[in-house]
Amino acid sequence: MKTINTAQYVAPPIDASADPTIIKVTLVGSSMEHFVPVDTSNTDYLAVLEWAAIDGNTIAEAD
Amino acid sequence: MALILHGTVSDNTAVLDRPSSKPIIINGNMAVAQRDGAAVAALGDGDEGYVTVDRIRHTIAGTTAGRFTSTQEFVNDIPGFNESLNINVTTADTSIAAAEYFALEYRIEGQDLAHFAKGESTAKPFTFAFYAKANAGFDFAVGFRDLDNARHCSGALFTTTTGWTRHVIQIPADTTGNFTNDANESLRISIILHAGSNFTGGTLATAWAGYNAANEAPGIDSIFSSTDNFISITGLQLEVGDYDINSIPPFQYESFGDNLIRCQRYCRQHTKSGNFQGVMMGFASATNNCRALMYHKPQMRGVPTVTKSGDFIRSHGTATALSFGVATNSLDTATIDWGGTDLFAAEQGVLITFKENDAFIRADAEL
Repeated sequence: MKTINTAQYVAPPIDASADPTIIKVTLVGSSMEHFVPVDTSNTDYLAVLEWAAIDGNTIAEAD
Repeated sequence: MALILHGTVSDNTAVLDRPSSKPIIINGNMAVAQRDGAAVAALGDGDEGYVTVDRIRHTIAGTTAGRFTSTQEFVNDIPGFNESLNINVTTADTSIAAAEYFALEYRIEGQDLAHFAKGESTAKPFTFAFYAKANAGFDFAVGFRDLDNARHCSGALFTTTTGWTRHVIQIPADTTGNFTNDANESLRISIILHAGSNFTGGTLATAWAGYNAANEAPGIDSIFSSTDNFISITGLQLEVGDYDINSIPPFQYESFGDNLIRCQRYCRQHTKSGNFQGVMMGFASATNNCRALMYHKPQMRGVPTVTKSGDFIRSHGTATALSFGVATNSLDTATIDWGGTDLFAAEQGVLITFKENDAFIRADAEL
């Protein structure tokens, strides 16, 4: 996954208090939205974790 | 089903006991390009991932000034193949920083590698073959990396020519470290085209050893040395056993349909091929929301990332582009929330269609 610009959890559809299972991601230079599952077998999720580990980067809470 | 082939070669009589009925490498003939079969330009300013032909990853590390175009190129000068992957340099990088790296990669699930018996006393060698041509003679490396045990082996460098040349890279058996039996990446094969001293500063790892980046690609040239440069590859092939240019078995062909289905375990892209073509069925829960079902077929390797590009509308309604969100996702299906103010009749079925511009919806579970 190219350079991540923003990442935000998506509120679960039934029980908004449940743990989110999807993260909405945008990349630098693109308006396209990628819906990345919270699943360590997904390589995009691993890239999001790597990005979030850098100081200043945060996965935003769901709306 | 084991496939037994017998054939006479120049140096001996080879007997191939191929332990799988299908080629280990999917789309080795570059026939499938779901994401984009046309040229994708201005690549190189980040880790590009999968951009043109299926299953071939464009891995970039560090910050290179080099830029390139990737194209599924139709070929007629290599008997038996119709497509190749072409990398054409558009901006050179002659000042290579230590962390720079560019490779074309093929990544394989651990559960698909049991027949190499890696980590056992009976471990089998690997042979990797492919066709390549370039604008000049370059030395590049092929790296094999075991992600489960942090080990690697780079075999030997290969040298391109200006015509199609079949390169055969022999990687010895490794009696240390089993591949993990799961759907995650265990083996990474990298055709390394550009690298800084972090990857070239050591001695080429011609035997399996603990991973040391400096030993991945010593002695290689850089594809980014000039905007004159290009490389094309096709016919990627991985075999169990030790073969050379005389004994390597023929490329194992699949029908386009079989090839496509195997690619779709990793990526399934529904690209618009006509205005108002149907995409998925849903049910409107209210006048502003419709939840629709997206099938992932065949079942995907892992829960995929879902991406939408372009505009989608509801059939037989106002042609207002719908908002998009993913509500749930799994190996087999995703549920998609389509939204828009007063676009639906509540409690009714809805057909979601492409609008009039270019569009796609993609499920991506690549390694």
